Amino acid sequence: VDAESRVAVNGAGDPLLRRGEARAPNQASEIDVAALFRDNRSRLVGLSTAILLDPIVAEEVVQDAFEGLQRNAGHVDNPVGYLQRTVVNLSISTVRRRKVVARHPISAAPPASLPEIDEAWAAVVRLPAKQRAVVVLRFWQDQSIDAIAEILTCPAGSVKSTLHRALKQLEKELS
Amino acid sequence: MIDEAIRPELEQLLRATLDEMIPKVVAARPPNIVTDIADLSSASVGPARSRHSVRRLVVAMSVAAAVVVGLVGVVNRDADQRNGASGSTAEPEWYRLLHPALPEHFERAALTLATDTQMWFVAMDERDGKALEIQVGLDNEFSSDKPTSTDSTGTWYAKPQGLTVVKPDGLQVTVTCDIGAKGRDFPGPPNYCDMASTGPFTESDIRVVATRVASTFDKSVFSARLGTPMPVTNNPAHIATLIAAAVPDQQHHVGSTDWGPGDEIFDFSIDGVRPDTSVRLVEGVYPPPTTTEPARYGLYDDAAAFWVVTPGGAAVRISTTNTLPESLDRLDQLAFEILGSVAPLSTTVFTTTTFVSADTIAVDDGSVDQPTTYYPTDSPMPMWPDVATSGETPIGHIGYGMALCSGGSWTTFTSLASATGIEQSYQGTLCAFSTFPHPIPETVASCSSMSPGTNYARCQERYDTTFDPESGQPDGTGPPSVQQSVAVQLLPPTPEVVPQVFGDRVSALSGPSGPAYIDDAVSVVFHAGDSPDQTCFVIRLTDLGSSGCVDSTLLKTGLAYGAYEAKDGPIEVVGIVPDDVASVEIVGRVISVKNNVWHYTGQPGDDLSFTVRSADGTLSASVG
Repeated sequence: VDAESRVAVNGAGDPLLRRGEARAPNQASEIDVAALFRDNRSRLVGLSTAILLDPIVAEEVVQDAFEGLQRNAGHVDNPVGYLQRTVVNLSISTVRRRKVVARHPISAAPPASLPEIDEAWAAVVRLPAKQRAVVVLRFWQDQSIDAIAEILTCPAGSVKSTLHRALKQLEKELS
Repeated sequence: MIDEAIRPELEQLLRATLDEMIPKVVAARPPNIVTDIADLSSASVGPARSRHSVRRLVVAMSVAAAVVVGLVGVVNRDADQRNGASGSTAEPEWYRLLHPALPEHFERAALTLATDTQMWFVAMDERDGKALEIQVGLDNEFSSDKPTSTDSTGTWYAKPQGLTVVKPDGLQVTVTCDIGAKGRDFPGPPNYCDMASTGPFTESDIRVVATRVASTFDKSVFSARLGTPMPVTNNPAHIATLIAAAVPDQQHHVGSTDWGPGDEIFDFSIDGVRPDTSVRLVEGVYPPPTTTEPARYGLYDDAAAFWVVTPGGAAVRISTTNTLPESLDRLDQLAFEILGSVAPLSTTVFTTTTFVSADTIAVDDGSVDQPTTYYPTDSPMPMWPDVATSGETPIGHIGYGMALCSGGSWTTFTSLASATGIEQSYQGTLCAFSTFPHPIPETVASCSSMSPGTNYARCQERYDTTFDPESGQPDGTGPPSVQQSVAVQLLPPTPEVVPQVFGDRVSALSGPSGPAYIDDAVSVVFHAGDSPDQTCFVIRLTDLGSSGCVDSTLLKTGLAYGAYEAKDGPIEVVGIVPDDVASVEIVGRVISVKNNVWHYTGQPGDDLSFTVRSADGTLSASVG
């Protein structure tokens, strides 16, 4: 056990917070993290879940993103963009990391209303994480290619080619 | 642009797929991962609903019109879902018989009473809180009444909210539909089922159900012993305490009505002089849902009602004629508190050790951590960003959330950042127990963590000795006593690197429905998981419990266990093992395995390390 780390954690104080008694956001930042959380959490969890296929870890990723925002509040100009970017990148990297470490089984997908949707979802699930992220951003969040490029911090051309490969694969599987 | 080259049909299908499936996958998370009580009343995920609905409709219509075979497939699959295909518990005999009679939307049902002459069932419509009461009996209470009609099924009698038919063989079937609302007793409650906004359930519908029941049930059901009601495990006083805590300003004390061993009803008043609200607790619901869905209020003329059902088969219906928004919010939360106390669905060691990666297993050095933070039990532990915005510790905040820790349910850790800047992210929950037999104001829950990197946390119930006896609230100014801190020491996690020396067969999984194991303190019910390599369980103790699944990799180690402690002990250790584990040695005692379950009651401070062994002793594995 890292004694220093543990002492630091345990010495962090024992704030007693009750539901509904949250104090005002950190005065050092003008970002209203609470409002951002309220307005964006569900959408971000959906986005992360679509990439991770794991709503539990997705929730954690979103939490981590907000934690990062809180830490970096003074340096973030576009909080929503920051959150999207962080969630997507954390989700993709988590998928990659999972391939290395032991991973827990992903639960079977809930049944869809139509067999065609079941098949399409299965095809989406089989896409590599980054391709899936691009597909979800494009067709679930209706993001433009340029916006996706900004989120993924990559050139628009890369987004186009990634999307092209993803759609080609989906077309092949669903035809 | 490349993406514009997509075929319109594929794009439409893709959009509809994402619109439908992403919220479903998000919603499929276990009930213990509810992160905020506010989530329970909000199912919205993703972009605007209306646009999604249109998309789904368009695709559904085009598919239905173009592919007749596909439509047949849809119908069949819906039928499968009604048959409980989504649930994984073995279908009880009583349900097999009753199911054909159940109308659409009333597929979940429970047996609440079974005697030599009576079988009572309740079927629930989770869309709006309606309940069908189906009672089959041999006592013809209507022999002197005037029948309303006679047909090939039998002689029919009118009954408030329903009908009774007495078959020629004397079997009496009564079916009623109601939402259980109180406060409109004079001149009699209206027929809420008739006015259901989601679809009225009329007398003719009731007649259909009664006719079907009459056609499938006969006198032999009473000797066939088709099942026994699942007892409501909490004592009524405890539920009454929860209600009193949730509605502190109530004018009318909670009264309990026992409708049978599997059914408990509590009536009380939120702010009137007469009971206006009713809480009904039912256990043994089949088929159980795979997840706990948010409460969906059915709004009626002057009343509201909803059902909430857990994967453990417990259900709560709350109905009220006090429909003020603030009242409904409180009742919504109360339902989940009650369900949490019935079967706290905290994820246990069973499911969470699999999150610990082989190269970052936290080393338990046996030392005792001081709890890191304390929260009162009468409110959910705050989620981000509440904990992050305390302002007291700019970076040293304890950035985890623990929703409804007080109820022992829906516990989730998210992440933790230390003052050193080292981020510690939890990959899951390792809260083996955290619940309170009673909502004691001075009780606090605490969690501690050790080691950086992938981490685990342990939860414990504490007493805050600094609580103010006048206000009855903890003031949170001080840590728990030394003695209480010592009790934080728990069992070590089961590391993934333990060899998988055993098989993965669990014979008890295919045994008869009902508990595979039961003793004075513990009962364990098995059911199959979503995948073949899962063994799922519901563990109940007097005031604690959990549900979850063990996957085969953990099962093969022989070291799947959960540990539970209410207050300061004793600690109940419950293990689930494959067939080839015959005995367990713990604290110097050898315990036999019964139906793939072992149970040991330890005391705080005990070294609860244990070793499991095969019958011939050639295979063994240890924790600790």
